[in-house]
Amino acid sequence: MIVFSINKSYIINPALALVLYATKVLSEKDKPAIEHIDQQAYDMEQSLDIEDVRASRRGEPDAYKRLIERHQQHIGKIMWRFSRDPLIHEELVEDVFVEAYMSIGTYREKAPFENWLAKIATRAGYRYWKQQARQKKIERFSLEDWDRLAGEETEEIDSTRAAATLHNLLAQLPPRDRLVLTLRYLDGCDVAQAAHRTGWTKGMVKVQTNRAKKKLEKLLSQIKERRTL
Amino acid sequence: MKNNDFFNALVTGAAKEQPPQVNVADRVIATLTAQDKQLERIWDRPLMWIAALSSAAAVPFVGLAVFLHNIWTGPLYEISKAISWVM
Repeated sequence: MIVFSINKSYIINPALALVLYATKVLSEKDKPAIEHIDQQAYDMEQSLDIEDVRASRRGEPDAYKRLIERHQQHIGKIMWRFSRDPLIHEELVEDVFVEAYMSIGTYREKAPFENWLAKIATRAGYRYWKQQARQKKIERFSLEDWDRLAGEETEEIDSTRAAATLHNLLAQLPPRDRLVLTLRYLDGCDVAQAAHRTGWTKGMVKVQTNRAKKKLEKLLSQIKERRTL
Repeated sequence: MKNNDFFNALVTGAAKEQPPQVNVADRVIATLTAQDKQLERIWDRPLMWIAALSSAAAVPFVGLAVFLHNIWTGPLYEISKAISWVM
């Protein structure tokens, strides 16, 4: 019966089946322990964050510096979706931490500090996109790059080139659509997470996602037409 | 490959990208310190406070002046003035 529960193909090799079963049981046994350690580390980081937030409110620069050092890579990852220019990217990350310090009094210590920062970062990035759109500074989308990448095997596509092409493609959409697609597809946020990051309602996120998807489909069909010409 | 499939392939590829490392801690602290100093300087300027308070006090008077100007140069006022002269 044990053998059947693992895989029918191992009936012919009971020894292998037994080894696999033992591995499975052991790994499942260890799983809660690993999760427990992860949870402990997470809780510890949370409490460290809260201590440093309180110290920052009292005006201790070292505490805020520690907070920045702990979270700058995470914020850097978020802001890389908003600008792929290394200089602007660093400026945006800097702006996020300056803005966060200015409003640190509004952090209520209920949600993780990281989530609160992510919300500020999303707002700062969206503001940057809107500013770029107002100034008509839109990243150039190259059909040649698209064609070159489309000719490659899916597994061979370089992640940096894929991200750059996608960034330029989404830049052709209005900032609102671009934001919701970036959050939902690239950052892998669900509706609730996207709503938290944008400050919109869940309904609004759903509506905006559908609208943005339609615009994206239209854009993709335009690309297809241009390619066939 | 269809465009939609290719788009999904790009999303999968882009998700694996490692963003550049950033180190902004020192610059942020320097910016915040500079801002704090600027704020301190603002609080220390008595002349600026006198100017701000007198500007605030002048606002109602400017409002009143605009209001009276609109009344006195309005057509209704002109007509009533002409009628009172005839009478």
